Amino acid sequence: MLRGLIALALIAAVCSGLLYGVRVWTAPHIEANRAEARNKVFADMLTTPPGALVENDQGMLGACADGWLGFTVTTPGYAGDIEMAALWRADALSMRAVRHLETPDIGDFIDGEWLQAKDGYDEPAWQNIDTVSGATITTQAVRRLAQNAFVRGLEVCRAE
Amino acid sequence: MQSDFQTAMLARNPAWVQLLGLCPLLAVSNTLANAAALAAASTFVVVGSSTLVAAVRHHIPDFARLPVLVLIIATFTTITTLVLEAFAYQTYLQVALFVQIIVTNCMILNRAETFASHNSVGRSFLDALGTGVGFAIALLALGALRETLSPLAPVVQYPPGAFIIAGLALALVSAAAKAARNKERAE
Repeated sequence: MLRGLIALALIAAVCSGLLYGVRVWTAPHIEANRAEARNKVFADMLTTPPGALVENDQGMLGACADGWLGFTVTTPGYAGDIEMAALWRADALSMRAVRHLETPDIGDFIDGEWLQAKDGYDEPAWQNIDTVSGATITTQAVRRLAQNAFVRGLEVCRAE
Repeated sequence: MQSDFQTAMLARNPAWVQLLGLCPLLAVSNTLANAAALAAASTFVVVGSSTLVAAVRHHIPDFARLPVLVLIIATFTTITTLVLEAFAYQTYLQVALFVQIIVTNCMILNRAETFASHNSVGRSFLDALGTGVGFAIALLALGALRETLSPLAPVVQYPPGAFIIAGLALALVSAAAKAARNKERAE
Protein backbone atom coordinates (compact mmCIF):
# COMPACT_ATOMS: atom_id res chain seq x y z
CA MET A 1 0.00 0.00 0.00
CA LEU A 2 2.73 2.42 1.01
CA ARG A 3 4.72 1.55 -2.07
CA GLY A 4 1.63 2.22 -4.19
CA LEU A 5 1.11 5.60 -2.57
CA ILE A 6 4.74 6.56 -3.12
CA ALA A 7 4.44 5.53 -6.77
CA LEU A 8 1.29 7.63 -7.11
CA ALA A 9 3.05 10.62 -5.61
CA LEU A 10 5.98 10.22 -7.99
CA ILE A 11 3.73 9.91 -11.05
CA ALA A 12 1.80 12.99 -9.92
CA ALA A 13 5.09 14.84 -9.45
CA VAL A 14 6.24 13.92 -12.96
CA CYS A 15 2.96 15.10 -14.48
CA SER A 16 3.02 18.30 -12.44
CA GLY A 17 6.60 18.99 -13.45
CA LEU A 18 5.81 18.47 -17.11
CA LEU A 19 2.83 20.79 -16.91
CA TYR A 20 4.74 23.44 -14.99
CA GLY A 21 7.60 23.40 -17.47
CA VAL A 22 5.32 23.70 -20.48
CA ARG A 23 3.30 26.43 -18.75
CA VAL A 24 6.44 28.49 -18.09
CA TRP A 25 7.63 27.96 -21.68
CA THR A 26 4.35 28.90 -23.34
CA ALA A 27 3.06 31.65 -21.01
CA PRO A 28 4.82 34.60 -22.75
CA HIS A 29 3.69 33.43 -26.20
CA ILE A 30 0.10 32.90 -25.04
CA GLU A 31 -0.03 36.34 -23.44
CA ALA A 32 1.39 37.93 -26.60
CA ASN A 33 -1.22 36.19 -28.75
CA ARG A 34 -4.04 37.28 -26.45
CA ALA A 35 -2.76 40.86 -26.34
CA GLU A 36 -2.59 40.96 -30.14
CA ALA A 37 -6.13 39.61 -30.37
CA ARG A 38 -7.37 42.23 -27.88
CA ASN A 39 -5.68 45.05 -29.78
CA LYS A 40 -7.18 43.87 -33.04
CA VAL A 41 -10.68 43.81 -31.58
CA PHE A 42 -10.32 47.28 -30.05
CA ALA A 43 -8.84 48.63 -33.26
CA ASP A 44 -11.87 47.31 -35.19
CA MET A 45 -14.28 48.81 -32.65
CA LEU A 46 -12.54 52.19 -32.64
CA THR A 47 -11.68 52.09 -36.37
CA THR A 48 -8.05 52.92 -35.66
CA PRO A 49 -4.89 51.00 -36.52
CA PRO A 50 -3.81 48.64 -33.70
CA GLY A 51 -0.54 50.52 -33.34
CA ALA A 52 -2.40 53.75 -32.57
CA LEU A 53 -4.01 52.40 -29.40
CA VAL A 54 -2.56 54.00 -26.26
CA GLU A 55 -3.21 52.63 -22.80
CA ASN A 56 -3.54 54.87 -19.74
CA ASP A 57 -1.94 54.28 -16.33
CA GLN A 58 -4.52 51.64 -15.48
CA GLY A 59 -3.92 49.65 -18.64
CA MET A 60 -7.15 50.87 -20.20
CA LEU A 61 -7.90 52.78 -23.35
CA GLY A 62 -9.53 56.20 -23.22
CA ALA A 63 -10.00 58.31 -20.09
CA CYS A 64 -12.77 59.20 -17.68
CA ALA A 65 -12.27 62.86 -18.57
CA ASP A 66 -13.15 61.98 -22.18
CA GLY A 67 -16.19 60.08 -21.01
CA TRP A 68 -15.20 56.63 -22.24
CA LEU A 69 -12.97 53.72 -21.37
CA GLY A 70 -11.86 50.59 -23.18
CA PHE A 71 -10.94 47.48 -21.23
CA THR A 72 -11.50 43.75 -21.22
CA VAL A 73 -13.78 41.74 -18.97
CA THR A 74 -13.69 38.01 -18.43
CA THR A 75 -16.15 35.51 -17.03
CA PRO A 76 -16.60 31.73 -17.13
CA GLY A 77 -18.62 30.55 -20.12
CA TYR A 78 -19.80 27.10 -21.10
CA ALA A 79 -16.44 25.43 -21.80
CA GLY A 80 -13.98 28.04 -20.60
CA ASP A 81 -13.53 31.73 -20.03
CA ILE A 82 -15.16 34.29 -22.29
CA GLU A 83 -13.12 37.47 -22.68
CA MET A 84 -14.79 40.53 -24.19
CA ALA A 85 -13.49 43.92 -25.20
CA ALA A 86 -15.76 46.54 -23.67
CA LEU A 87 -16.17 50.15 -24.76
CA TRP A 88 -17.78 51.77 -21.75
CA ARG A 89 -19.60 55.02 -21.24
CA ALA A 90 -21.56 55.78 -18.10
CA ASP A 91 -24.82 54.96 -19.84
CA ALA A 92 -23.78 52.86 -22.82
CA LEU A 93 -21.73 49.77 -23.44
CA SER A 94 -20.52 47.99 -26.55
CA MET A 95 -18.77 44.64 -26.41
CA ARG A 96 -16.98 42.30 -28.79
CA ALA A 97 -15.70 38.76 -28.14
CA VAL A 98 -11.93 38.50 -27.92
CA ARG A 99 -11.70 34.81 -27.06
CA HIS A 100 -14.03 32.06 -25.98
CA LEU A 101 -14.56 28.31 -26.12
CA GLU A 102 -18.30 28.26 -26.71
CA THR A 103 -19.58 25.37 -28.77
CA PRO A 104 -19.41 26.02 -32.53
CA ASP A 105 -22.85 26.60 -34.11
CA ILE A 106 -24.48 26.78 -30.67
CA GLY A 107 -22.72 29.32 -28.46
CA ASP A 108 -20.52 31.12 -30.95
CA PHE A 109 -23.28 33.58 -31.90
CA ILE A 110 -21.35 36.02 -29.69
CA ASP A 111 -18.83 36.36 -32.52
CA GLY A 112 -21.26 37.95 -34.91
CA GLU A 113 -24.07 40.41 -35.40
CA TRP A 114 -25.96 39.34 -32.29
CA LEU A 115 -23.53 41.30 -30.13
CA GLN A 116 -23.05 44.18 -32.56
CA ALA A 117 -26.80 44.77 -32.56
CA LYS A 118 -26.54 45.62 -28.86
CA ASP A 119 -23.95 48.39 -29.25
CA GLY A 120 -24.71 51.29 -26.94
CA TYR A 121 -27.17 49.39 -24.74
CA ASP A 122 -27.53 50.73 -21.22
CA GLU A 123 -27.30 48.47 -18.18
CA PRO A 124 -31.00 47.54 -17.90
CA ALA A 125 -31.08 46.71 -21.61
CA TRP A 126 -28.07 44.39 -21.28
CA GLN A 127 -29.69 42.62 -18.34
CA ASN A 128 -32.91 42.17 -20.33
CA ILE A 129 -31.37 40.60 -23.44
CA ASP A 130 -33.25 37.55 -24.68
CA THR A 131 -31.80 34.21 -23.70
CA VAL A 132 -30.66 32.25 -26.74
CA SER A 133 -32.30 28.85 -26.82
CA GLY A 134 -29.75 26.06 -26.34
CA ALA A 135 -27.13 28.52 -25.07
CA THR A 136 -28.45 29.72 -21.74
CA ILE A 137 -25.04 29.59 -20.07
CA THR A 138 -23.52 31.71 -22.83
CA THR A 139 -26.30 34.29 -22.58
CA GLN A 140 -25.97 34.46 -18.81
CA ALA A 141 -22.24 34.95 -19.22
CA VAL A 142 -22.87 37.91 -21.55
CA ARG A 143 -25.18 39.51 -18.96
CA ARG A 144 -22.51 39.03 -16.28
CA LEU A 145 -19.86 40.52 -18.56
CA ALA A 146 -22.00 43.58 -19.17
CA GLN A 147 -22.72 43.98 -15.45
CA ASN A 148 -19.02 43.63 -14.62
CA ALA A 149 -18.10 46.16 -17.30
CA PHE A 150 -20.53 48.79 -15.98
CA VAL A 151 -19.37 48.23 -12.39
CA ARG A 152 -15.70 48.45 -13.35
CA GLY A 153 -16.12 51.57 -15.43
CA LEU A 154 -17.96 53.36 -12.64
CA GLU A 155 -15.42 52.25 -10.03
CA VAL A 156 -12.49 53.51 -12.08
CA CYS A 157 -14.06 56.87 -12.82
CA ARG A 158 -15.29 57.39 -9.25
CA ALA A 159 -11.74 56.77 -8.02
CA GLU A 160 -10.36 59.53 -10.26
CA MET B 1 7.15 -4.35 -33.85
CA GLN B 2 6.27 -3.17 -37.33
CA SER B 3 3.13 -5.26 -37.09
CA ASP B 4 2.12 -3.37 -33.92
CA PHE B 5 2.15 -0.15 -35.94
CA GLN B 6 0.35 -1.63 -38.95
CA THR B 7 -2.23 -3.47 -36.87
CA ALA B 8 -3.07 -0.35 -34.88
CA MET B 9 -3.29 1.76 -38.03
CA LEU B 10 -5.33 -0.59 -40.20
CA ALA B 11 -6.82 -3.73 -38.69
CA ARG B 12 -7.62 -1.92 -35.43
CA ASN B 13 -8.18 1.53 -36.94
CA PRO B 14 -9.78 3.49 -34.10
CA ALA B 15 -12.32 5.33 -36.27
CA TRP B 16 -13.31 2.94 -39.03
CA VAL B 17 -12.96 -0.39 -37.21
CA GLN B 18 -13.37 0.29 -33.49
CA LEU B 19 -15.67 3.32 -33.96
CA LEU B 20 -13.89 5.26 -31.23
CA GLY B 21 -13.44 9.03 -31.09
CA LEU B 22 -16.48 9.69 -33.29
CA CYS B 23 -17.35 12.98 -31.63
CA PRO B 24 -14.19 14.85 -32.68
CA LEU B 25 -14.10 12.88 -35.93
CA LEU B 26 -17.43 14.32 -37.01
CA ALA B 27 -17.18 17.72 -35.35
CA VAL B 28 -13.78 18.83 -36.57
CA SER B 29 -13.66 17.28 -40.03
CA ASN B 30 -15.60 20.15 -41.62
CA THR B 31 -12.37 21.44 -43.13
CA LEU B 32 -9.09 19.73 -43.95
CA ALA B 33 -7.11 22.25 -41.87
CA ASN B 34 -9.15 21.62 -38.72
CA ALA B 35 -8.98 17.88 -39.29
CA ALA B 36 -5.19 18.04 -39.64
CA ALA B 37 -4.85 20.06 -36.44
CA LEU B 38 -6.94 17.66 -34.39
CA ALA B 39 -5.18 14.67 -35.97
CA ALA B 40 -1.80 16.04 -34.91
CA ALA B 41 -3.05 16.86 -31.42
CA SER B 42 -4.66 13.45 -30.92
CA THR B 43 -1.56 11.65 -32.19
CA PHE B 44 0.68 13.58 -29.79
CA VAL B 45 -1.58 12.82 -26.83
CA VAL B 46 -1.96 9.10 -27.60
CA VAL B 47 1.77 8.65 -28.27
CA GLY B 48 2.88 10.65 -25.23
CA SER B 49 0.42 9.09 -22.82
CA SER B 50 0.94 5.50 -24.04
CA THR B 51 4.71 5.88 -23.82
CA LEU B 52 4.58 7.27 -20.29
CA VAL B 53 2.05 4.66 -19.17
CA ALA B 54 4.27 1.90 -20.53
CA ALA B 55 7.29 3.39 -18.77
CA VAL B 56 5.58 3.42 -15.35
CA ARG B 57 3.28 0.42 -15.83
CA HIS B 58 4.99 -1.74 -13.21
CA HIS B 59 4.61 1.00 -10.61
CA ILE B 60 0.94 1.92 -11.08
CA PRO B 61 -0.97 0.54 -8.09
CA ASP B 62 -4.01 -1.56 -9.01
CA PHE B 63 -6.34 0.45 -6.80
CA ALA B 64 -5.57 3.64 -8.74
CA ARG B 65 -5.03 2.32 -12.24
CA LEU B 66 -7.74 4.23 -14.08
CA PRO B 67 -7.23 7.57 -12.29
CA VAL B 68 -3.51 7.40 -13.05
CA LEU B 69 -4.18 6.70 -16.72
CA VAL B 70 -6.61 9.61 -16.91
CA LEU B 71 -4.12 11.85 -15.07
CA ILE B 72 -1.41 11.05 -17.61
CA ILE B 73 -3.76 11.53 -20.57
CA ALA B 74 -5.02 14.82 -19.11
CA THR B 75 -1.42 16.00 -18.67
CA PHE B 76 -0.63 15.48 -22.33
CA THR B 77 -3.95 17.02 -23.38
CA THR B 78 -3.17 20.13 -21.36
CA ILE B 79 0.33 20.30 -22.84
CA THR B 80 -1.18 20.11 -26.33
CA THR B 81 -3.68 22.86 -25.56
CA LEU B 82 -0.99 25.17 -24.18
CA VAL B 83 1.37 24.57 -27.10
CA LEU B 84 -1.41 25.17 -29.63
CA GLU B 85 -2.46 28.40 -27.95
CA ALA B 86 1.14 29.57 -27.84
CA PHE B 87 2.32 28.66 -31.34
CA ALA B 88 -0.78 28.18 -33.53
CA TYR B 89 -3.27 30.68 -32.10
CA GLN B 90 -5.63 30.87 -35.08
CA THR B 91 -5.83 27.08 -35.26
CA TYR B 92 -6.34 27.00 -31.50
CA LEU B 93 -9.36 29.29 -31.82
CA GLN B 94 -10.92 26.88 -34.34
CA VAL B 95 -10.32 23.57 -32.55
CA ALA B 96 -9.59 24.42 -28.89
CA LEU B 97 -12.83 22.98 -27.55
CA PHE B 98 -12.23 19.63 -29.24
CA VAL B 99 -8.58 19.51 -28.27
CA GLN B 100 -9.57 19.89 -24.64
CA ILE B 101 -11.95 16.95 -24.85
CA ILE B 102 -9.27 14.68 -26.30
CA VAL B 103 -8.89 13.56 -22.68
CA THR B 104 -12.30 11.87 -22.99
CA ASN B 105 -11.47 10.23 -26.31
CA CYS B 106 -12.03 6.51 -25.79
CA MET B 107 -9.33 5.70 -28.33
CA ILE B 108 -6.62 7.04 -26.04
CA LEU B 109 -7.80 5.41 -22.83
CA ASN B 110 -8.34 2.19 -24.80
CA ARG B 111 -4.71 2.06 -25.94
CA ALA B 112 -3.39 3.01 -22.51
CA GLU B 113 -5.50 0.41 -20.71
CA THR B 114 -5.36 -2.53 -23.13
CA PHE B 115 -1.89 -2.17 -24.63
CA ALA B 116 0.47 0.27 -22.92
CA SER B 117 -0.33 -1.10 -19.46
CA HIS B 118 0.91 -4.55 -20.51
CA ASN B 119 3.66 -3.98 -23.05
CA SER B 120 7.08 -2.42 -23.38
CA VAL B 121 7.76 1.24 -24.11
CA GLY B 122 8.88 0.51 -27.67
CA ARG B 123 5.85 -1.57 -28.60
CA SER B 124 3.50 0.87 -26.88
CA PHE B 125 5.07 3.77 -28.77
CA LEU B 126 4.55 2.01 -32.11
CA ASP B 127 1.04 0.92 -31.25
CA ALA B 128 0.13 4.47 -30.20
CA LEU B 129 1.74 5.92 -33.30
CA GLY B 130 -0.23 3.53 -35.48
CA THR B 131 -3.42 4.45 -33.63
CA GLY B 132 -2.72 8.14 -34.07
CA VAL B 133 -1.85 7.77 -37.74
CA GLY B 134 -4.94 5.62 -38.33
CA PHE B 135 -7.12 8.25 -36.66
CA ALA B 136 -5.38 10.95 -38.68
CA ILE B 137 -6.07 9.06 -41.92
CA ALA B 138 -9.75 8.80 -40.99
CA LEU B 139 -9.94 12.48 -39.99
CA LEU B 140 -8.12 13.75 -43.07
CA ALA B 141 -10.10 11.54 -45.43
CA LEU B 142 -13.37 12.74 -43.93
CA GLY B 143 -12.16 16.36 -43.89
CA ALA B 144 -11.09 16.21 -47.53
CA LEU B 145 -14.37 14.58 -48.58
CA ARG B 146 -16.52 17.10 -46.73
CA GLU B 147 -14.54 20.09 -47.94
CA THR B 148 -14.60 18.83 -51.55
CA LEU B 149 -18.31 17.99 -51.52
CA SER B 150 -19.52 21.08 -49.66
CA PRO B 151 -19.90 23.31 -52.78
CA LEU B 152 -22.06 20.59 -54.38
CA ALA B 153 -23.96 19.55 -51.27
CA PRO B 154 -23.78 22.19 -48.51
CA VAL B 155 -25.39 19.77 -46.03
CA VAL B 156 -22.04 17.95 -45.65
CA GLN B 157 -20.71 20.95 -43.73
CA TYR B 158 -23.23 20.31 -40.98
CA PRO B 159 -23.62 17.42 -38.50
CA PRO B 160 -26.26 15.51 -40.49
CA GLY B 161 -24.03 15.55 -43.54
CA ALA B 162 -21.04 14.50 -41.45
CA PHE B 163 -22.96 11.46 -40.19
CA ILE B 164 -24.01 10.50 -43.71
CA ILE B 165 -20.52 10.84 -45.19
CA ALA B 166 -18.94 9.02 -42.25
CA GLY B 167 -21.51 6.24 -42.52
CA LEU B 168 -20.84 5.82 -46.24
CA ALA B 169 -17.08 5.79 -45.62
CA LEU B 170 -17.53 3.20 -42.88
CA ALA B 171 -19.59 1.02 -45.26
CA LEU B 172 -16.85 1.29 -47.88
CA VAL B 173 -14.11 0.34 -45.42
CA SER B 174 -16.16 -2.60 -44.12
CA ALA B 175 -16.81 -3.83 -47.66
CA ALA B 176 -13.12 -3.56 -48.55
CA ALA B 177 -12.11 -5.41 -45.38
CA LYS B 178 -14.64 -8.16 -46.08
CA ALA B 179 -13.41 -8.53 -49.66
CA ALA B 180 -9.82 -8.75 -48.43
CA ARG B 181 -10.76 -11.46 -45.90
CA ASN B 182 -12.65 -13.45 -48.55
CA LYS B 183 -9.70 -13.22 -50.90
CA GLU B 184 -7.36 -14.45 -48.13
CA ARG B 185 -9.63 -17.41 -47.39
CA ALA B 186 -9.87 -18.30 -51.07
CA GLU B 187 -6.05 -18.33 -51.29
